[in-house]
Amino acid sequence: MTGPPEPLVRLRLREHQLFLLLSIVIGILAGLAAVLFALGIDRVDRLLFGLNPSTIRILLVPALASLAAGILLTWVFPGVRGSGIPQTKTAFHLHQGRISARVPFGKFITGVLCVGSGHSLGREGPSVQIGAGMASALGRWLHLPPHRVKELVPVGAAGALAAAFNTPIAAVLFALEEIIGDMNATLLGSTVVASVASVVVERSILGNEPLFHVRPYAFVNPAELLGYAILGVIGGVLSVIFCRGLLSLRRLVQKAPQSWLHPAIGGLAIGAILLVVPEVKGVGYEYVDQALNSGLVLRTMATLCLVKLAATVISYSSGNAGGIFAPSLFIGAMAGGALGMVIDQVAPYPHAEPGAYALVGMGALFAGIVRAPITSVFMIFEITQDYQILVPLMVANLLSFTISRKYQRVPVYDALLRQDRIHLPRVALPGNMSRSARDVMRRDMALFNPQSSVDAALTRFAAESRSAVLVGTATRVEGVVTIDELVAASSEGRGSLPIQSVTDGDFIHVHPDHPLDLVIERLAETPGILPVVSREDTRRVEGIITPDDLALAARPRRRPKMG
Amino acid sequence: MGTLEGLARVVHREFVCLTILVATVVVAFFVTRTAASVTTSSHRRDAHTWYEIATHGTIDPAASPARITALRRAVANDPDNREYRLALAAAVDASGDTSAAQRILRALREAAPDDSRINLALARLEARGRDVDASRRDYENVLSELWMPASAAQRRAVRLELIDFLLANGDSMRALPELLTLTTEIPDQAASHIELGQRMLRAGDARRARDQFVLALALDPDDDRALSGAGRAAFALGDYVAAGRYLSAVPDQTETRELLQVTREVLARDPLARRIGTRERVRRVSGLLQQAGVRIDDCAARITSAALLHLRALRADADALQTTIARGGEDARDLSEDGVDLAYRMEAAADEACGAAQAPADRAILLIGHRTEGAPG
Repeated sequence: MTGPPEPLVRLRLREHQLFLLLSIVIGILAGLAAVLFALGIDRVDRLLFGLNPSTIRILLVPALASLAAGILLTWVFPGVRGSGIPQTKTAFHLHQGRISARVPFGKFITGVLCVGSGHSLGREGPSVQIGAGMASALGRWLHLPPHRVKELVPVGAAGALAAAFNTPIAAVLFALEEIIGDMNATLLGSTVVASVASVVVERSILGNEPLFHVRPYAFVNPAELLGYAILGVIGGVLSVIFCRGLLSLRRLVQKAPQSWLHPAIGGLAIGAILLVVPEVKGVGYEYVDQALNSGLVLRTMATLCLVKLAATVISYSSGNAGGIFAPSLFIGAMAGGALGMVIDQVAPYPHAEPGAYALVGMGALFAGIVRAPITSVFMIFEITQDYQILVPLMVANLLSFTISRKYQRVPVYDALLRQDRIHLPRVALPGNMSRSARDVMRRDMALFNPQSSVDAALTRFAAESRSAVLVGTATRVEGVVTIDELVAASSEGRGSLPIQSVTDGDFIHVHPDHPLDLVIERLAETPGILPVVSREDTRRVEGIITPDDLALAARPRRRPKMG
Repeated sequence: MGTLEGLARVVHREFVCLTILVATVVVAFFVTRTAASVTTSSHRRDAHTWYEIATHGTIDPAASPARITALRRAVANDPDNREYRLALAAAVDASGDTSAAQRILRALREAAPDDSRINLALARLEARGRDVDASRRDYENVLSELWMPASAAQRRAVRLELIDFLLANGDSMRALPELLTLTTEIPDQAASHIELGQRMLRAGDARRARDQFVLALALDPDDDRALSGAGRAAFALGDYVAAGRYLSAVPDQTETRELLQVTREVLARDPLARRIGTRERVRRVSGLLQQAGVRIDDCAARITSAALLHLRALRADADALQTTIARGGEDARDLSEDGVDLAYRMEAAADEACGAAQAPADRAILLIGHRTEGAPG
């Protein structure tokens, strides 16, 4: 047997060439996946509801479809609940961009099932996860180095979002602003390439039609800014209500047993809502389009705004697969349109049509809920292709964003991850930055058994002369307890209770990648012991840091002797 | 995988993978395109079904919410179909929400600015809302869009609609140019000339109106609408001889009887008419003063205001002129002019004090006096 022809085998692409080529292919594939996802939702909707569904069908279809989705989400595709954007961010920041090849398939199937069965959820978040998942899987299939696989995640996300919204610039900005968390990221070129490739493919299939048919609205009068400012405030308040409602209900649902049943219960509630207000079914862009063209009346828009908000909170909190992009746009369009109608009736000055307010309302809610204000401005600009709407849009966005940040400090995607005990870094930290918590933490740590009594712990404290200790196991830390807290508990007659009862489970901590200045800052707030916990599970302790550890780390390292 | 590894012995693995990827992309593209095409077709089918339900189906036309919902679904399923959006606007308008209907149509016009159906629907809504400028603009847009020879009938109908709208809003100045344009567009048929003539008459252009009626009569000499129109136009032009001729020929006198009576009174009482003798002229002057005097007496008996003095003074002037006539010796032409002038002033004063004249004879005196007032010299 002869050997391979050497020159051919040696011929290969350089890494950056392969990466660029792959960005184009991923952009196209992500675009196709996003289009197929949207078509799949449409097909399932038709299949399940038909043209004119009966009452019983409307009531039961979401519940039964969600029951099937719940089983899949619990046992077959456990990582694909909800929007998909938090999971994508987690993969990018914590797992070197590694997303299982099952994820895009699982997200496609469960997303189509949940959104197609009438849940008030969007298709953009799932599209992002599908695109990112495909990119990650392809990168690994091509044996790219881990840092390149990680870089492909936002590329796939941008490609999918560009096709889902038909807004290539906004998709790039979203990948930078939300997924990477750094507008100065070096991945701009490849995300742009993927985004453009995706949009070209999407338009060649679906035509060069914008997502919404919007008339060119003008900024008629400077006095109108007052109306847009009010819209910004309303947008901010609705964003806070939405985020808090979503997080509160989700926390409540997570505590309930039988997680496979949660989506079906949510589905039953949605079925009941759809019986009364069928317009909130699914993505609902057709009604957004009508609001943008001033085609709905005040009462309808006000009702749809509130019911959509409630329906989305229920659909998402109950663990169904689907995003909150589209609902935030829907709620914003209805709120803005309703305000526009009121202004139309009472304003004594020349003003734009209600559709212009619906458009700005979309941006305001998006900025308030998703907390991506730059993406929001560009997305609306790409939809309208009208510079005149930018000034009111920026005013409303800024106000909505500010109010939302003031009263809901943690952005919704990060807050959802925190509920799952995952803490993301604020920005992508370069690997060779200064020393981090990982470098100074001690891995040999004493943990108190949470079941041991307060009195027994006091005895051990006295023997080891410590001021505070960690309570729990290495995989599930319950908190930090100080000797003062134990003495107080014992003197109150709670000496026989387990030590776990003294801790509240909410303790100051750092993650392994946190820089030393933050470690010092946080250590000063503790009784002398700072747990270092995993970002992927804040109950999993990886080490501890005490003032002694810091002092040890501060010593100059011994240089090897020359010669 | 075995094939892949086998190929990888010949060329580098990444080329094999990329080739597979490209092939996958091509297949996925065509699969997606087919799926999109199937979806679009089924959306259109659904849209048509909803449209049929809303327009020709089982929904009661009075049940506007159900119709609107059905049409909204049709629009949502096929947003590019203008027919559905137009029907939706009509249904929304029928439900009483004219402003929402206007917004739907304006949005539709943004997508299709040259569609005459949209502009016409908008023009009609604005006409109903008394937005004269916007409506006129939209009507004019429609007319500019209907430029093809094949659309001549439609263009004519729209122009007539615009003219009617302008006349209904008292805008004769803008109606007249449209009427003049219409003269070049209408077919040479009696009915068309009559329609045009009637509108010209309403717009105050009696001369062109008469021309149109004359054209109509040339085509159909017995058309009572043409005869009546020609009579009215001639009457408006002060050509009472022609007016009398046309109006007398109208078979059904229901609508023209009064006008004919006034015309006959004018013809019978005008002292300045041609081809009458001096005695007849004097007799007519005397008759005018007598008729005007009766009206003054009748009016004076009903009022107590300061105008009474003026009426009595005019009555005294009339009596004095009658005395002069009875005495004779004055120039008949001068006497006629003075008499017509005085009778006119008496009738006008009575009009002002007691309301417009009703009797054909009094109206005839006013017309005779008015014509003399406007006559040169």
